[in-house]
Amino acid sequence: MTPAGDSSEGGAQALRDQIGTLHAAAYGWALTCCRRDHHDAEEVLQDSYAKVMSGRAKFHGRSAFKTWLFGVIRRTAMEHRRRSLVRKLSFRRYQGESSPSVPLMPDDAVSKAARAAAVADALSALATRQREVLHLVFYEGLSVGEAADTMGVSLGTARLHYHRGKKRLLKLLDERGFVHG
Amino acid sequence: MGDGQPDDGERKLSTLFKELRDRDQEDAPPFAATWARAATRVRQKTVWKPVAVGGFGLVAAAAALFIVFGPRDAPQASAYEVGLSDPEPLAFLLRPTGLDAADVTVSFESRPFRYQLDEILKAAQEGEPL
Repeated sequence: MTPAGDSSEGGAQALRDQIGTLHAAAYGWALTCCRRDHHDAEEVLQDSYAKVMSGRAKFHGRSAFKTWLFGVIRRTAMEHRRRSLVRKLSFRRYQGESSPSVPLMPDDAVSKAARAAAVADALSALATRQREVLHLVFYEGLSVGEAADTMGVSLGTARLHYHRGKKRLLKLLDERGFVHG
Repeated sequence: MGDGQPDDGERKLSTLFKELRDRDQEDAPPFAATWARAATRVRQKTVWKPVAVGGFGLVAAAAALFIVFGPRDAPQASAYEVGLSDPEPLAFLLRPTGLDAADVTVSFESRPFRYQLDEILKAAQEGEPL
């Protein structure tokens, strides 16, 4: 349990510190929830922190603090997507080609940055839940069960999305020459 | 990884995700700046929310007052009053009001209806069937 529910100055400071330690992970998660859009991820993160600050999102200790915070970010991202749907219908943004123009070459010849960009791009081609479960397992190092808790789905559902997502992501990366076999 | 021992694909994905995480951490906005912007949003909502709620309340109250105390009929530019000696043929006009048919004054402002009413009255006075 954290002092997140404590509205005193000390409690607020402790909450701020606790979120600060998770900020990098929270940003990575916000990116995944926003299809790797950096601008949207920053917006969602600010909204999520504002919710925590104003008490609209309260931690009650029913799960790990990180799981709770990720849940807040996930819900905020969903709200954000709903709000921006009309805008996107009106002003369709150019999404770009689905694959980056990275040449097929051996792994050691490709920079880490290019590989990371390819993973990000391939992830954005996956279904939302597949992307989320893969992020939580491979990026955050959670088990599939913990990922299921964070996503608010059953273990069986999370497993299904994990296996399908993993297969599809490997296929996409293989097509782009980033994994072999 | 996932369930049990990681397979070859999972090991490859772990490596790739680690590189992605490293890149994201470099790109992440500073926590202090994000927190400060979130605090600004909270302050803005704190100011505007009561204003918005109050404004909505005022509009709702005004609408309720208008519905309760507002005019029941449209303003009458020139009331047309008709006294009926034998109002039986016009009984259908009285039905919704439940008024006594003996002395009734019917006021209408609409020109077409006034014309129609003239014809009805004329027909009623001459004893013709409507």
